[in-house]
Amino acid sequence: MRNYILLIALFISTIIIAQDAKEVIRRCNKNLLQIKDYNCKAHIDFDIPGLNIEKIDGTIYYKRPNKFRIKSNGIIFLPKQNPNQILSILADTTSFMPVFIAKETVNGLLCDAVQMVPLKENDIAAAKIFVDTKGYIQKAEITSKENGTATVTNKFDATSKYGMPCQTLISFDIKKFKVPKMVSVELNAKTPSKTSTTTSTKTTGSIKITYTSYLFNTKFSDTVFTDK
Amino acid sequence: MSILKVKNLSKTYEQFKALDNLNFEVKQGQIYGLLGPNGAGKSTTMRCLLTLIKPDSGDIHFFDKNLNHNRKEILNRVGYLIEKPDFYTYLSAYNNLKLLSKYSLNKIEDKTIRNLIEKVGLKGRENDAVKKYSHGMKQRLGLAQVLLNNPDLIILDEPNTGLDPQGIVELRDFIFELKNEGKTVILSSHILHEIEQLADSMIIINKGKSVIQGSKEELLGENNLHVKIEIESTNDIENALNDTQWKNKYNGTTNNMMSFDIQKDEIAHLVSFLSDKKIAILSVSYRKKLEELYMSLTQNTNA
Amino acid sequence: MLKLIGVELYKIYTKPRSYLGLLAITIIVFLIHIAMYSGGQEYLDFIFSTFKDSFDVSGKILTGNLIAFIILQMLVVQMPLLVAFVTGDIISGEASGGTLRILAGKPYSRSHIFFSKFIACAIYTFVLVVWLGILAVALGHLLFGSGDMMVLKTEGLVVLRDGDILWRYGYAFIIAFFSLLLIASLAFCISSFAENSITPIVITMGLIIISTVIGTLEVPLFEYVKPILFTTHMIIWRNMFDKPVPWNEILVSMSIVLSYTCLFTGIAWFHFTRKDILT
Repeated sequence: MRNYILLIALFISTIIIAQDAKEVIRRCNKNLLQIKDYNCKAHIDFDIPGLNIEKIDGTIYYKRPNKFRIKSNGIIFLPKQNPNQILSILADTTSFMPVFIAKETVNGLLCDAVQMVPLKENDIAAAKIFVDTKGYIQKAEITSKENGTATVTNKFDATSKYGMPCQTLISFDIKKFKVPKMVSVELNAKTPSKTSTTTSTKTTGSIKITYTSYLFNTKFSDTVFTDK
Repeated sequence: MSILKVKNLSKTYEQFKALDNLNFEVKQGQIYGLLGPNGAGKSTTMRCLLTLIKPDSGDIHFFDKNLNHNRKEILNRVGYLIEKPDFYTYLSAYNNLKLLSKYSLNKIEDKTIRNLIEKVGLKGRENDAVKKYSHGMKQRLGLAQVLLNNPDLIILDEPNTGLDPQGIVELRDFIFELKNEGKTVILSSHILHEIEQLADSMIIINKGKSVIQGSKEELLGENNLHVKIEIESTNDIENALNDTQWKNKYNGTTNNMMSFDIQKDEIAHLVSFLSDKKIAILSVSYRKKLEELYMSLTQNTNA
Repeated sequence: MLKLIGVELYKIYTKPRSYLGLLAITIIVFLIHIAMYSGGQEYLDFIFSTFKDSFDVSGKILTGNLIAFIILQMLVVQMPLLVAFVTGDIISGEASGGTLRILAGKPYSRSHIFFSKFIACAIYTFVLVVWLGILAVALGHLLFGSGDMMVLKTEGLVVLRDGDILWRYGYAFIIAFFSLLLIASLAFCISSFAENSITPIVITMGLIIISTVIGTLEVPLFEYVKPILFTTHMIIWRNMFDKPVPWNEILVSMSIVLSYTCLFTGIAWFHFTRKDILT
């Protein structure tokens, strides 16, 4: 009898947690689902060990459910786990099940932390989002099977609409690059010392994207995703 | 006037003494012959004169000026052809001369080059690449090159080498023509006959040393002959010559061959004297004394 | 002196072998351009695979700037050979051809002849570098367009923005010129000792290859030797594509390159002005 009571309590609590998580997602999607497409100007700063790349300006194009492109005159490096993936995860209610975890303070705001558990085979092993009372995603942690974990921290200002941030900081794990001399043809490169203190093969990189001039639902042509 | 004075010129290559205190003098307007067997030091001497080789010691004066201190001025008055006539084979004869004319301190007009081409008989072929030239044609081009800067002194090292008989005759005429123009010519050869035909004065060099030198008259005149008389028997020869004028001119007898250094008009008297002494003469032959000397040098070298 | 430099340049200009260098560069560069045009993306995917596994890379990678860089890298061995091919022959070729004895007996001093030849070699080297620059950069831009440039380094990657590249090529070609002048002086030096054309070219290339191999091998013993190898400093042009540009390192290397050039030229001059010309 005691066991039945425990089971029923567990079942009810799971339903309650699930309902709480769904409520958080609903709150989130209330903003995001209003966006069918958007484009905005982006200024991107890179701080990636082993990758010496200057900041660059570009234009971001997004169309639901998962069309995304940053168009610029130069080369851009983004981690495989980019912020666009969160929009895709939230939009895909059949592939991920939200599970409420806890309430946590992010950027000084009390947020609901929800774990998005993949229901199907997916490269994303887990995703955790932190949603504030307005339904804005203040933070997300995306863990992929191939590329480790990336943490996306968003900033919002008074002009923020539909839950879209004015700035995103993506922090991610990165393996230390080591290119053979014969491939790099850097024949005069100094051989790194074996006793060097920087022998760790893992380190962290970050990319900061500042967004301006958002334009929502302008129904731009799909060609922006394919043209060169 | 002295054009060239060489004093105590010496040069050693490792162990080999190529020049050993060589001295000679060349007068203006002369054709001067440097004669010697192969390896005697003729080319080394000529290369020293042109600063191609630095001698170990000795002085060279051209036009009464020291070569070391007046190299630029002196060599601008010298034309030369050392050993074989080498050129930029990918260029035409005209372009070779044009290019080499730039190494003169004088401005050499295009007309001068054209005239020289005509003078050496290359007109009509001057635009052909030198690689298509025969040795004779290259030699002609070499002579044109020698005359580019209208030199006062011309140095020719074995100029006959590789030429056919007609080429040799033409070269001889060419050298005489230069002499007639008032130029001084120094030429080397290992063939006595060549030098004999051309030179006013000469020097024989062997093992880097001067063996003999002087004017052609002094060295190759008919008053200085080496006579050989072949006799049947050598019995009492020495006694027959005793107390006669021939004793001092007698060099000895080898293999029935008596040897004398006498003048040409004494030969008949000598033959008559020997006949009177009942010495049976089988043959009489003579050579100029220098020729004999040079033959012995050449034979020794070749041996 | 100017007259003699003109004569030496005329010789180079009229000598068929001088054009082999230019022809070889033209063919090699065209082949690289064609290869890159047809299969460059696969090549770059391989080269940059380390980074593409971790990142989504967007933007034009196959640009004229990158192709020019790849061409410069590929010609690390060929360019010295082409330079040595002409400069190694400039004295010894005349010695074996017999024309040196014609020149050395002329009124101009041997120093005049020597430096006119050396300056002519330097001008020829400069022409080769400029020709390479025109073909690699200009033709590269024409075929592949402009754009950012990714420079692969042993320890990572440098991405240079389009507007920040051409000036670097300017300096890189100046550095490459002085590096090749070092090769010219080495070949020239050996040429002053040799009496045939092949020896200086073979010895120069041998020294470059040995020096490059020692510089590439990661053996502790060689680490002490590497800083004094001229090949270590010759490829310093690559550092122009670092960010920030390590000017101090470049200046040190250029000083070493120029010192070697002066040393080789000095030895050659000393020998040439004193040697007996027996050919």
